[in-house]
Amino acid sequence: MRNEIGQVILVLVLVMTVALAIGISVIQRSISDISTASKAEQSSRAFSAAEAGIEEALNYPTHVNTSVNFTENNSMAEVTGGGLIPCIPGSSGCAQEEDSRQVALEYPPLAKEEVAHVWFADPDSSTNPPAEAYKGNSLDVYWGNSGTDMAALELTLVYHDGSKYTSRKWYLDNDAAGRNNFEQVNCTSSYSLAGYRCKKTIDTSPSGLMLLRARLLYNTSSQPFAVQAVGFCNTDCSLPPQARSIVSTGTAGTTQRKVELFQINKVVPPYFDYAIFSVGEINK
Amino acid sequence: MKIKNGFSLVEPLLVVVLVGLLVYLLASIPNSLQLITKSKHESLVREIAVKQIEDKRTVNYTNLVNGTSPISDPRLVLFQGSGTIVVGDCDPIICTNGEHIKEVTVLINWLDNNKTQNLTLKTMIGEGGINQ
Repeated sequence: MRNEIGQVILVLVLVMTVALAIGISVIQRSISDISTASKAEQSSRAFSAAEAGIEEALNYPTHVNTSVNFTENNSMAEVTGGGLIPCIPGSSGCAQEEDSRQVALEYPPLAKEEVAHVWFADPDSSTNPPAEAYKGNSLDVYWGNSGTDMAALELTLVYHDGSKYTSRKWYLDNDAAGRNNFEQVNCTSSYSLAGYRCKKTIDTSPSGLMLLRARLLYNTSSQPFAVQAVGFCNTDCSLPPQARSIVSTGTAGTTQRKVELFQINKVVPPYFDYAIFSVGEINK
Repeated sequence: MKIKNGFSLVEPLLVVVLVGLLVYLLASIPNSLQLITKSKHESLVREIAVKQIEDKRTVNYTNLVNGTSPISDPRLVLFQGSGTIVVGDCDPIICTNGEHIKEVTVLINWLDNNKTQNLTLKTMIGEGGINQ
């Protein structure tokens, strides 16, 4: 019949369209699978190299800004940092000039109720109490980076008054909604140390300073914490070198993986803040 | 008016082109399926290699002995794979100060479409390092 001309080609085109769609989807999938597998393999090689960089930096502390190159594996790692921080201005190996203000000791972001530990005394001292190191009368404390998820801060200063260990507490908060009876701090975000929302200068005038414990409260996201010594008199106005911050960037092909490590060797455990210490017997 | 019978030149040409394209696509499907299988194997091998390194990191440094040991992961048998994990001293070019570091290399070979594929992961484990 005259009006049936063209039906065969129509059916053929339809069949081909379906076949084309199937074929293209299979090819597409194979391409994306191969690409993903290749990237994942590069990523693993880069990560292993980055870990190797961390190992090298941990094992050879004085060898700062090193690198690890696995030529036959086409992977490598660049390591920055490695030495003890914060260094004392003017001391050997420290980039800071004599009589300049010591740079801040910046902790990696702290989760809610996670504890940061800062040494004022020499952490390697074998005496009891440990040898005094920081003798500054004040200390700048920085914390938080969010105006909505505002973090409060609990600080515990521990010092040795000549006969016994004593502590002094601060409870600081930027929130004005009265969620607690903490001391309210006006946060402006415009400080010489960038990236922090709040700052408080605390009194560290007691002699025999030992350590500072800091705990962020109320925050749902991890937020930064830092302390900076005040003064320009080198050793006495500087926190003792106590931490190591190492960043290792592994590279394989076009993929990079970064491993960051922050280490303080001698830290009292978190339950320290909740425990009761007594020279004599404790009676209920 | 004269009745037009048969096809114009464009119609058979179009059919030939479309049939050609269809044949090409159908012919490349098996190849694509092979590539999908290959990428699956690659991902699995990568997982096995990463696990081997993680397992080594849980071993105390003093118990890390130089030598080569086979990888015994049942998943490797599925595609005729085999592998070794090599523990050796750190290359003096990298560890210039006699650091207490071991170099750990995971080598895995397997067959895909009768071709040997391989994956090598290399890292280091040091005394007092990660997990130590």
